[in-house]
Parts: sequence; C-alpha cells; structure tokens
Amino acid sequence: MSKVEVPAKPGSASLAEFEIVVAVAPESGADQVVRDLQRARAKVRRLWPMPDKLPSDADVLVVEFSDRLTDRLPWMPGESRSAVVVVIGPNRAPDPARLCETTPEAVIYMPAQTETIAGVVALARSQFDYTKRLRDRIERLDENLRTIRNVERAKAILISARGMNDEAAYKFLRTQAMDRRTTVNAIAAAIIDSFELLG
Amino acid sequence: MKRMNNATTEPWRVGVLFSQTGHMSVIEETQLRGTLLAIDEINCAGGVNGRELMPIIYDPASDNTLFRLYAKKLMTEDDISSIFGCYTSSSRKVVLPIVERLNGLLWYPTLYEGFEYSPNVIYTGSAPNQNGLALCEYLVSNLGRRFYFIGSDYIYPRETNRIMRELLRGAEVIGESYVSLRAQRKDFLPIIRDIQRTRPDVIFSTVVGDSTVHLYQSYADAGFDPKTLPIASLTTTEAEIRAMGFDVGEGHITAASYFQNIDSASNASFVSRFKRRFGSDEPTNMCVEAAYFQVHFFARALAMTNSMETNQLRPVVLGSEFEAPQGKVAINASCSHADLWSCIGRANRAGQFDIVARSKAAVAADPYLTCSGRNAHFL
Repeated sequence: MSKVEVPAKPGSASLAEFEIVVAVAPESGADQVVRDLQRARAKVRRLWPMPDKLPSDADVLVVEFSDRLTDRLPWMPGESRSAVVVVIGPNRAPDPARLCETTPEAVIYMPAQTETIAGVVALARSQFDYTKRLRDRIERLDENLRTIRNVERAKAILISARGMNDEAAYKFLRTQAMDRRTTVNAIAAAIIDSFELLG
Repeated sequence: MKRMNNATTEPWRVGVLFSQTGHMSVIEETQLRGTLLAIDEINCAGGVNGRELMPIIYDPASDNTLFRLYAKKLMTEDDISSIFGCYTSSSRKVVLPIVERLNGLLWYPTLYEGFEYSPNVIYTGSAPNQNGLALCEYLVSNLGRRFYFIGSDYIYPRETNRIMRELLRGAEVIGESYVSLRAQRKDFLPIIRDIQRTRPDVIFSTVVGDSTVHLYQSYADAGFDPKTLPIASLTTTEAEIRAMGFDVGEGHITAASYFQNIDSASNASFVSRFKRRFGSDEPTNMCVEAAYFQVHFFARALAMTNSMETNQLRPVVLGSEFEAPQGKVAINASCSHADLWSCIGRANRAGQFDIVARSKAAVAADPYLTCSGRNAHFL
C-alpha cells in the first residue's frame, strides 16, 4: 500500500481542517508561521495587532510572547480550551517564570528552520488532547466516587429514619430513580440534602 | 491531492490482537473468528462507504510483552487507530497506556472485573453488575451459602473475588485458592483435597485459559458430581466445555451475556453463519459474540463519520444500538461499556448451556457498581 503524504494518524499529526489563530508580530516571522501552517492544510486566522483578549474558539493559538500574555488568554490557568504555542521573536529571551505561567504546550523560537513549525503545532495539539482526555477521565472517576459516597450516606439515612434494612434502602433508591427518570446519585443527593435541611 | 484520490478506494485498516498460540489461545482464537466473521459480512455487503475493512492481524501468543509491542506497532507503524483485541485484563492493562497516549480506540470484547473507564476503550463484555450479580443471586437461592473460590493468579480473578465477597453478603467464603495461569492438572490436586475437606455448597471459579480444562477434569476425576456440587464461573464458555469434554462439563454453571443456545432468529442466523465459515462442530460463545457485534458497532459508526479518527468515531459509537445475537444491545454513553443481557446457563451433555435464568432486557452497565443493589432483581 502506498504511503500517503499527510496521514490522518491516531493522535492526529495532521493539521488538516484545524482552525489555528496566529497572533504573531510581522517582525517575529508571522508570514513564515502562516505559510508553514497553510502548507499543512490548516485553516489559519491571522490577528495583528495583538487583541486585548485572544479568541477561545480555535483549536490552537499561536501567539507572540509578552510578559502579560496570561491577561490576554481567554481563560484562567488550568482551564484552557485550546492548545497554546508561544512564539518568541529574534534575540529575545523570556523570563522563565513568565513563560511557565503562560502554560503553553510548545514554544517556537524565531527564526525557525524551514517547515518545522507545523510539526511543533501538531505536537502541541496532541499534548493538549491527551491532557484533556486524562482530565475527563479524572472528572468521571470523581463523579463515581461522589455517587458511591452519596448512595452509602442516603442508604444510612433511610435505614435510620425509615427503619429499612440495607436491601430495602437500595431498592428504594433504585425505584425512585427509575420512576423519576433520573440517576440513583441524584436521588441519593436529594435525600441527603433534605435530611440535612430538616436536621 | 494524492490522499484525496486514494481515499475513495483504499481499505479501512483495523488492528486485530488475539492470541492464536499459547495458553490463552483456546478462547482468544474464538474472538479472532468472531471478529473475522463480522469483517467478512461487512465486506461482502460492499464494505463501509464503498471501502473494504482490512484487518491487520498479529498473534501476541498469550504474552503481554507482545501485546504491548504489537499495539505500539499497529498505532505507530501501521497507522491504525481502532484495535479489536485483548482477552485477559493484564493484556488490556498493558495496551491501555498506548491507546490512551496515541488516542486510539481499543474495542475490548471480554467480560472483566469492572472499575475502569478509559475514554479510549469501548467495553463490550460484561461488567460485574451484568454477570457476577446475577450469578450470586442464582447460586445463593439454588445451591447454598458456603462458597469456595478458585482462580488463576492475575488481576481479573483477584479483583472479581473481592467484588464477589461484597456481593455475597450473608454467604460464607470458606476457601480461596489461586493457581498459575499455566497451571497443570497436578496443581489442582491440593485444591481438590481442600474442597473434599471443607465441603462447600458451591465452587466459584475464575480459572481461565488452558488450565480451565485441567481444573474441570481433575474435579471429574476426583469423583465430584456437578449436579449437586457444580463449579460456577463467569468465564467457562462453550469453547472451554468443548476442550474439556462434554461429559466433564455437564452440570456446571456459567453466567454470561450470551450462550449459543439463546433462542432467537438473529442468533440462529449468527450461529449458522459462524458454522458455515469455521466448521459445523465449532460452537459460538459470549466472547465470539461480543467480538462479532462490536465490529458491527464500529462499522456503523464509521459509515457515519467516514473517518477513522477516534475523536470523530467515539461520539457516534456512544449511545448507538445494535440487534446482536444475544438481543438488542447498546453502548452506554455514560461509561462506554455495553448494556448487555444477563443469563445463567447450565452445561448439558451436548456441550451447550441450558438457559436456566435470563434478564428481561439488557442490563445497564455499571462498571463501578455505583448504583447496583445487592440483588439482581431482573432475573
């Protein structure tokens, strides 16, 4: 089978169809960045001068580094919605602390070698996706732990307040959830809340 | 442009990782067959959007090191994103970090111990609330409360027994023994003696692979009568019964989402297609069936996305339904596990399972047992 030029590989090394915002100064090499990304068939949106707030709907933000870049990012640290690639212009050396608090997935020092930019941007997006999958997984695990805890607490309430046994308490929660077309967790949480409200 | 032109005729390539050799091949080879049967059916019907499915098959030889190597090779050299494979939990656990990091999709057609949720796995075998729960209820109401646990020594049996202890509240576990995954007949002799000494009401086995045959055969040799003291299992399928001999298997109990004996038009047609392809004496089993229907889930989603990218495929798979041989099943969107039927079967002289209890519908997967009560009310 013939190898294709830009394979749509797992982890998506391909930038095809990716929406990428480029907010880079012309003197830092914005033209080269845009050209490289367009060659990789990304959809590039160019923003300059640097806006006060960067857009939050792109797949990747490729942005010129500045000391107050965190203020221009449209999210709080730890809640990013796009991969961020920071571009550092010729003869500049950012303060490491400022660079870290921007939390970029990758850094490009200009001038960059020809055709190296698309690879860095694809890597940044792959890192971002992986972190997001892990965060989703952790969120799901937290939710499961909360459910288990709530069901056990609600059951204890039913056992002491209604004199039910363990089995009957479980059955009550399940039946209520089914009748009300909601989750067992929601029923359990409601029982705990009303019990605490009534004291 | 080259890519666009190729895209219309090139096959969709998928990875297949089931052991064809080594101590797990008895069952994993049946999963390979289920996978290939579904791929053949899809290709005979014109493929997916006019492109055929092409399986890239490796034999991990019951060796987790090879599972890991081949999973990596499939994803980084063969440029494959969806892999159908794995039977043991330990093989799944070594493949998991690879598919998670490279954003692949592992289609896992095997019952397992639950307590896992990976965004890069579609689980199509039973979780404990879909098989263990039903089995506990059946055994306690029909056989008694004194249990003896025997298992192969790896993740699945140890975790399953921990869960069974929890589900079996009120019952007594009077013995718990583990043997190597490569256990031979002689390795079961001390356990058989212990069973003779402790006289349980029921034996619960999580022995898997070749050693399943040795366990049931030594049990028969020791003169136990399965009609009064059966071995109950979540893993002994028609394939293992055939390997141990129908006379040895007769009377033993298994809980599963599927048995070849399920009486439905879709199952009859599935069984006859399987036999036509692989031989009239080849039985189907729960692992064949899950391996089979999961390929259909995949193909239907692929027809809609026209893309193998996990990020596109997975959202379409979640929540989808399929009329499987066991009945209508769905991929539960909240946990990417399949909602499956619960059945209790008792092996007969013909190597098939007589179905002694069955759920009224598919049971929602609850891999963390967050809201499954102690009773399988559905039986």
